[in-house]
Amino acid sequence: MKDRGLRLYNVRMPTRRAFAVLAAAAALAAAKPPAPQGPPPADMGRLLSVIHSTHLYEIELGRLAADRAQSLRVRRYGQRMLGDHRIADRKLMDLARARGWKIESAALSEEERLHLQALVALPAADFDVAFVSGAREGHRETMDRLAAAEGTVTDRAIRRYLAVTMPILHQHWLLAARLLQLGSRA
Amino acid sequence: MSRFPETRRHELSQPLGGTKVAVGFLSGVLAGAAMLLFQSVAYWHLGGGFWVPERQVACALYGLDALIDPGYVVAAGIVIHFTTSVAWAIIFSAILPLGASTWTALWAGLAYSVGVWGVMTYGVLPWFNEYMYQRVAFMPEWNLYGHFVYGFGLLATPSLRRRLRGGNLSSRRNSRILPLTP
Repeated sequence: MKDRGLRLYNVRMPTRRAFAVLAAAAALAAAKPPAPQGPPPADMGRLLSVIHSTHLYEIELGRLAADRAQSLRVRRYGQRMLGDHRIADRKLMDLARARGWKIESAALSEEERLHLQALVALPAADFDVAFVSGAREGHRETMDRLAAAEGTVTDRAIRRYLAVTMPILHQHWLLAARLLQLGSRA
Repeated sequence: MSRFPETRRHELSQPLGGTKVAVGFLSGVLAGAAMLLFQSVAYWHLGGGFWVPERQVACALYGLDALIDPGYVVAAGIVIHFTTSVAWAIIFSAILPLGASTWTALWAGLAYSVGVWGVMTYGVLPWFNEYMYQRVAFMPEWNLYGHFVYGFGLLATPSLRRRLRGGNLSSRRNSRILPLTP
């Protein structure tokens, strides 16, 4: 009876052992072998580079809106864009790294740079509508581009990546449409 | 050896209805808080925003607007999360054998959390919160890790059970058993 009592009431030892087992499992999971770095196949390289640069552009847009937007909803929308595209880009880079591919760090295109400059130059009162309209159009174009590319991708992990990223882009598009609908109430 | 073996056996074999619910409630709050905190910190660390998990949960009530609406949606998300968390913990408290050790509760809790993750992710979310389902599919590993933290939190169940039942035992001893002792 005494032994049983000890087993029931001794909380420290099992908890400590449990922590040790979990820590060991986490360490094993974290220890990934380094993959050799090289360029991806040509078509795949172009696609990943386009997706990467799109994420970078959306991150810049989101950051700008999170700082400059007048409406709290638009500001939160900017934060969602910033966060989601940051995570999506990190996942993309992890996928490429796991395959030993090196994605060229893409600079913003001339058109994207001009659009960002135009948004910065806008008076504060006009910023929200211009930003949300641009975000809606931008997400529509990105979705169309990725949907067209999806059929050509043979790598299963990249296909899976596109399949889970598209709904998030669609959510951004829906939110932009909703914000435009809310208009001055937003 | 207990001085009152019959009484103790009797106590251990009782269905414990109220105590199970109370223990489930407390361990559900504890495990739910640990899970929510873990997920919020993880999202914040990944650059997604601290309150995104709560907003995702709130999409069940407010739709996609919950991602941009004011702070009340965060409160609603927290309420929904804890309600679900407590409900699952009460079931766990009811099925965990009486007298289970902390070690048993740990492994049972982790296995249970995988079951909860499967049911919630593939059985509940697609029907009740499609937007959260899409966002969970976007980063599934963190949702699973969050449920592991929940399962780890259920480790408190036997300890809470002993504390609550201990209180009952001593009160009964005082009222009924002590007068019989020499």
